[in-house]
Amino acid sequence: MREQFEQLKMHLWMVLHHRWTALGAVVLVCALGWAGLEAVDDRYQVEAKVYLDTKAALQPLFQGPNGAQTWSPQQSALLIKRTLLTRENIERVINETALKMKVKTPEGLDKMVMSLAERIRVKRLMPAVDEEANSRNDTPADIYSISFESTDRELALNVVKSVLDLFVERFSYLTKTSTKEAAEFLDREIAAYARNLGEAEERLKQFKLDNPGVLLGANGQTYSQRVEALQSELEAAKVSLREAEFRATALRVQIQNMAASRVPVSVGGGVPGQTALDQQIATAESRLSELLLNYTEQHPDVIGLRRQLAEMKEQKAKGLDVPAGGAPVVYAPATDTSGARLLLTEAEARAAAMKEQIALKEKQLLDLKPLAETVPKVEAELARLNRDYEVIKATYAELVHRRETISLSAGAQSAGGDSMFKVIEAPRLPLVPVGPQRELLTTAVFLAALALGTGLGWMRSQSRPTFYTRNQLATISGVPVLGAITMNWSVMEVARRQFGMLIFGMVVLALLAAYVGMLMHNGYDIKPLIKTIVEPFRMIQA
Amino acid sequence: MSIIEKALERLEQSDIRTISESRGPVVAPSTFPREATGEGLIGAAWEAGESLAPTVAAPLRTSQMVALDLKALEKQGYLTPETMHLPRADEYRRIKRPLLLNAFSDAAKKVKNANLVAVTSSVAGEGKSYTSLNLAMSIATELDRTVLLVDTDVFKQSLTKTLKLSEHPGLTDFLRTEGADLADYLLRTNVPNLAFIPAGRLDYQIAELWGSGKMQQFMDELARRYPDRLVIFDTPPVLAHASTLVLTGLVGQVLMVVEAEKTDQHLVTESLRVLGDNVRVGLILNKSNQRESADYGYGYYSQ
Ligand SMILES: Nc1ncnc2c1ncn2[C@@H]1O[C@H](COP(=O)(O)OP(=O)(O)OP(=O)(O)O)[C@@H](O)[C@H]1O
Ligand SMILES: [Mg+2]
Repeated sequence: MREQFEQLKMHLWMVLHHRWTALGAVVLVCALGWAGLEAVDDRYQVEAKVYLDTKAALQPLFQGPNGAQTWSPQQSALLIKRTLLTRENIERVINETALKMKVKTPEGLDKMVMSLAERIRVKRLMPAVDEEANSRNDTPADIYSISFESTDRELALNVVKSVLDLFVERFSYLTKTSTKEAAEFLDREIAAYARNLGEAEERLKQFKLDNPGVLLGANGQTYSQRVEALQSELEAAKVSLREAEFRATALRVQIQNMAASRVPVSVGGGVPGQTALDQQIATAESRLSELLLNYTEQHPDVIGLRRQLAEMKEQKAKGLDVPAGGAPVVYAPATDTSGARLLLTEAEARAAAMKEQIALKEKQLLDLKPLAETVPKVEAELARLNRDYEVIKATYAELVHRRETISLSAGAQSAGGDSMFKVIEAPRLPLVPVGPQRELLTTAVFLAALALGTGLGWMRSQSRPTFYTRNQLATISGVPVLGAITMNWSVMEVARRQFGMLIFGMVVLALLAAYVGMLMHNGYDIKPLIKTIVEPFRMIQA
Repeated sequence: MSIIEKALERLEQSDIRTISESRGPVVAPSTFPREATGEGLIGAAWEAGESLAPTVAAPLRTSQMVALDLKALEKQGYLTPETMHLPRADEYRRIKRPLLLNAFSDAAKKVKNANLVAVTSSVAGEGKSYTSLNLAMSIATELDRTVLLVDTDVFKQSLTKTLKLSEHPGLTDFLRTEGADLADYLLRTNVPNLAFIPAGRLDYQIAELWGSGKMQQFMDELARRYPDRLVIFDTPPVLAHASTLVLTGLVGQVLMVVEAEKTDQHLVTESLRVLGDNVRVGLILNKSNQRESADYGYGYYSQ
């Protein structure tokens, strides 16, 4: 113990030996530290407080209505922060505040968003001490604090305001008063949109009616689609026509060949008094009446058949007919040509029908041609009307949905009387800075300077170690020490030393005064301290 | 006391005469009857040994007597017989005990030149001269000891200068003069039991001089002839002058002064290494600011 005490004393003495070095370091560090502290700007904090029922706020977001999950204050604060501070929202905050000026590049924006996500603090302060609230709900309702620190207090205010807006937007449905208002508002909106929707519908219908030729599209076909369809139909008709004509030609050749090899026969099977032409006419007529049952006079098949009938009757009138039976010599065809003839008739009828069709399609195409310019405009207008209509319809649906949500949450909170969301404390422009903690830092700098100075003095004594005590000398040298002779200061030296000490003491006092001065300058109220020091003396005097 | 003072007065007169009469390496010896100096054991005489003064037939030779300005010394902070009551005188008392024990105990008889003490230090200004003189003064107050102070710091001669005896020829002159008589160089002082040999003319071959046979002979004579006498040599710093090492080789004890709070530890270690293992070294911490009482109960000396 004594040993340690001696050691301590020795080291103290060693440091004291370098007291000017130490004091110099202390003064320098203090000066630099305090000047640095002066240079640091004040930081202001803006805070807003909201009362928010955690359960009511988080349950719809993170689980079904029947979930029984509870969140720790940290968790809930984090969840709410995540919900609010999405990237878009932070960008919105930036755009709404002076921070916008600071963003120059997309990377800068990225950085700003990240730093804001860090710096905007959402904290759950405490479970509400409201007994009533506690008894009403299993989970106590909470107070959340939204805060932001900056050297620019206007900015801090605006940021918090902006975030508070986000808060209000997100959770306002939990406010009872606003629920009613929102419901009324939504009802009005829904009514307006219903009207809008009707009008849009009407406009669309009217437009379609106004452009009937253009907008045949019962099946929703556009102009170009229709032209294309017509053209392909035309092509198909032409192909069919060629086929039919080819077939007819082939049949005619076949019939001619058969007629050339006709042999006289007595007509057995033929209806007496009737020629082949007569039979054909009869068949065609029965077919015609058959067709007329299904088609109108305009049908190409009907028209074709009629024309054929007329032809045949003409032939018969010219006497080209051959009697069907009897007569002196009857040249019956080697083969019976009536089947082929029937096929020929049919082919010819088909060809005629195709011709009709082609003519019709061509006419239709021709009719469409002048519309080529107006149609795209009309169609664009139609598309616009359609879009308008869709948008209005979607908005309307959303409004209706929201109205339902509000009804639900209103139902959920119907048990309680208070709202589950309320802004308790609006952000205000701060007058007193929160940082830096100047009093504390002034002291810290002072203590650090003292430590540093002492350390430096000690280090100097260690860098070139000398002997301070007789024991030290004996221990280190390993040689017996016969004795120690104290310094015999002369009067002059004593005076000089005392003067030096006086100066040293004065510098130390000045430093202390500077410290107290800095403390006071940085807002420390010294009066109570003085009072506590002076008070005992007063008591003694009294 | 009155007897001594009277004697001193006479001595002073003769001293002045001597100096004025002759200037040179050999000072005409002034002869004083032994009785004239009173009962002082040393103050009486220096008898030159046969070997040192073979040419001189052995008449009783007495040395010159000088008066030191003790008041001036006192003013400079030195101890004098008058100021032995001061607390700091105790510090020297404590040092001289082991020193005398080493020099004169029965065990010391086996050690060569045990009564010759060289006071040295690592570097200049540590307080060798100061300590030498104070120690000499302290020992001079002993009842049955005499002390001879020799200034062997030829370079600075601080002791010689402090005592204002630069006029007198010194040790180097003695060693260089053929057939010199030491009695002519030794100065008795007004401090009973204290004699002094000045440094002498500055000589740059001091190491060689110290190493000479004559020096060897001189030292042996000093050690042998007066067994109750302690001889203190004030020397230059060990690390500054090689001559010091020659000298420390001739003495039985070395006192090394270490200036507190100033001299580097490694300089002290280095000096001790340079001195070697063959010399008996004792350390003195000088100019200390720590009170001795803190050092393990030695404080009972200083009241
Ligand atoms: N204990 C002491 N108290 C006060 N002053 C001292 C002490 N010791 C020495 N001094 C002073 O320190 C100075 C140097 O002392 P001194 O001349 O004895 O040292 P030194 O070792 O003989 O130096 P040098 O090597 O130059 O001969 C002197 O002025 C002397 O008075
Ligand atoms: Mg000296």
